[in-house]
Amino acid sequence: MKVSLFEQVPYRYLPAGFEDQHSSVVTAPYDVVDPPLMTESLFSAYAELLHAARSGFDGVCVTEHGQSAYDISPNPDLLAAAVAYAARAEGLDVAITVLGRSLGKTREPLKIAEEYALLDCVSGGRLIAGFPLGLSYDANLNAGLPAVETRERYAEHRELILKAWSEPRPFAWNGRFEKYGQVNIWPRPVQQPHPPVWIPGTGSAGTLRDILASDYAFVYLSWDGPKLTGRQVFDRYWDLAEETGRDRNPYRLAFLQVVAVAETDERAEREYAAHLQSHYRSGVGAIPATAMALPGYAEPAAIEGMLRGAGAGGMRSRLKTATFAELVESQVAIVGSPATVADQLEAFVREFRIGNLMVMLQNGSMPRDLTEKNISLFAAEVLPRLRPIWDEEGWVNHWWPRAPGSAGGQA
Amino acid sequence: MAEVRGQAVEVWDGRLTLHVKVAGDGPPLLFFHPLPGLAWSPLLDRLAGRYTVYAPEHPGTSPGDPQAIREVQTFWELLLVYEELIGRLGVDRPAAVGQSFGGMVAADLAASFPRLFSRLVLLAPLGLWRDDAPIPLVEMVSGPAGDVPGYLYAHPESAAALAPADPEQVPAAIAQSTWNVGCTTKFAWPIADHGLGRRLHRIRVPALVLWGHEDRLVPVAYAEEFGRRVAGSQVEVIDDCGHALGADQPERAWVAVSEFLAEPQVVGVSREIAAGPERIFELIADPARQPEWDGNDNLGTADTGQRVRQVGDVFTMTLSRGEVRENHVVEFTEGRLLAWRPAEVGKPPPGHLWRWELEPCGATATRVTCTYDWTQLTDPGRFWRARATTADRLRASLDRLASLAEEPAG
Repeated sequence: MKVSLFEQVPYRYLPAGFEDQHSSVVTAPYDVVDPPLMTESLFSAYAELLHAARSGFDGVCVTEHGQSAYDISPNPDLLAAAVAYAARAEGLDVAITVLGRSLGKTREPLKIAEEYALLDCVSGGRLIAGFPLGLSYDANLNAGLPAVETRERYAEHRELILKAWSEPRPFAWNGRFEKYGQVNIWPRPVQQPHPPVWIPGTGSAGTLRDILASDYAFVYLSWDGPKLTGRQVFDRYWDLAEETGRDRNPYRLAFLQVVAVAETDERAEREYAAHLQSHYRSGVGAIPATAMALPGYAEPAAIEGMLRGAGAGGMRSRLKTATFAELVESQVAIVGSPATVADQLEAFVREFRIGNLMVMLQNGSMPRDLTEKNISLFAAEVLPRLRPIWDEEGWVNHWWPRAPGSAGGQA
Repeated sequence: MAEVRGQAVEVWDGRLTLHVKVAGDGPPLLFFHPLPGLAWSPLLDRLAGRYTVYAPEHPGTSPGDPQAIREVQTFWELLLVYEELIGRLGVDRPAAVGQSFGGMVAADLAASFPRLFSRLVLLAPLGLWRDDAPIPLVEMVSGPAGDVPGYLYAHPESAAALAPADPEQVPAAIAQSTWNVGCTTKFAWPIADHGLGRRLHRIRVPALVLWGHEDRLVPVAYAEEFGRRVAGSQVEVIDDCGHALGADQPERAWVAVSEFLAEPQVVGVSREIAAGPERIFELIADPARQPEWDGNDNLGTADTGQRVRQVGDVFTMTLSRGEVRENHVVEFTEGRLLAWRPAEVGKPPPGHLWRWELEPCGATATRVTCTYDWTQLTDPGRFWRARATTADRLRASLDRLASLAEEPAG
């Protein structure tokens, strides 16, 4: 299987009790920031991504959030470009996964087509193109777009980007949201007709059907507590795969898990517990529920289902007050010695047929030295146990970059 | 409570079915609902006692038909859809009442299609934006549900709980109203300004702008702004009243709306004059004689030799203020009927009309009726003067006409 480092870019020095007074997004007041510490927070994220590339991870992953204290990544291509160049310059065969530019949020989809294409060129054909809808607060509040149009914009933008990558001649685009007379972007992706496409989602049937119909990979994130939600989401995915005539290739599924590994279980808890707990409280947990689904973002039946199905959202609604013990119990985070972490991950990965694993090893206030230890220890002692998991089944990872001369396409 | 019936009206080349709540009897009135969808309110119920109320549900907000919102892509399309609806309903120049988001819709319909409505009531409409009076629509819609009453009511702490009583119905009701807000804010997001301020001058009908002084969603500063931009409009501000006028001050809102809607645009007085119709008619049909019986010091002088003989004649009158009017004769029957529409020199008449009718009453008397009709008046600058033309004023002229006609000949 393929194992990548996923990194968000939090401000690491939020004052204690931040979440009691503020939202972590949209209206988070910038005057809590000490500018030199912001600089350091951003710089550390670049350094840790490169550290992972040097430590033997198969890929590095970044994502987009605007007006956010927990992920200061208004354009993840800026991070990805730096890492893509540095890794290539050092001869590292590392996939660059942008999870990615939000297609329901953008007002300039061709810019995404151009940026991704450029990343694919600079990385030598190692881009994985993430096509997320975009969170509601980002698309509908930060970008000010009507919530009820988010999915329609997404669909048009994805179609436009894919066409811009593969159409050899200039073409006109008369869309509902975008109008162009002559689309003819430079550069084009090295990987033709397009880089592998991964689509993050919360697991609604509509999204899963779309992913399977298009033969892309589905990405699920662990913040809802996969012990609570995994069964429902992953089983639905594989059931739908069968229903739609897709095979059970585990590489169709990418999963992001928060992990903290130390020499022993006790030490892991001692070193990481406070960081993890404060991260969820002041980060994702401090996004107001209403900002995750502005009116119009979800249809009436889906809203009613959410309201009736208490617990179906897992830990999401409780992250603001979750204790370390609850985070571990629900597997929002997997924490412990290399053996503990590897055991849990392996059981989980096998149970749900996950072929592309991303691990998030930096959280909230974790300093760079502790993060780099987490990265190093994971790469040295956990990653080797995970890599061969699917070898015996012999699947080909069609959702991995096909860089010339790289191990692309191989498990 | 009025009996409310549902009517489904196909519009938009068959792609869209609008669901309209209809109640009452009387002249037609269109109601455009606010952000969370149509709720049959006491105000609508009372209106239905005097009018045939047509209250369309915004596309997508009708239960069971959420995808209808996809058929309306832009605010301009929404206006066209409603213009089609009014045609399909077969109502002629209905009055329009719009609240909040619905006020923005009604105002833009009136500006875009100046002959669509007869009267316009705007209840704290969205549609304009001033940097010195920001409208916290985004804050209200994205904030906690518990904060919403604070934007809508003057006394949110005492506002009645709006959620349905049956707990089993709560998720469905919340889901529907949440979706409804998504459907309406599609055309109001994040700022409800489609350039309405640049079109409001096109509104040509009497308009009432009604606002709550304590409106914390669309501040009362916008009452003056609408009043300034909608020519001839009346602005009324209700104290101790929030954005939800009908909920906060139901009685005062009803009085303001109903009195405005019932404002007479046809004023008539009638009396018997002890003279034959030919003698009275001569005093009216010869413009030179008109200043003699004018009871309001309005008419100055008119040249002799302008005796009206037929429809199409134009007679010239100099008003007491010195302005000159060309009066276009539109109805004429010798000795019995004369009506004209005044106009400025060389310009088309703005639409108001004077009519005199004479009917013999026995051998020696005549019943004379004088009517002032400004239903067709399209110059909002004259609305105030038209309003000032009351029955008392007409009676003053009629009485002087009587004295003049009844004087012994000679």
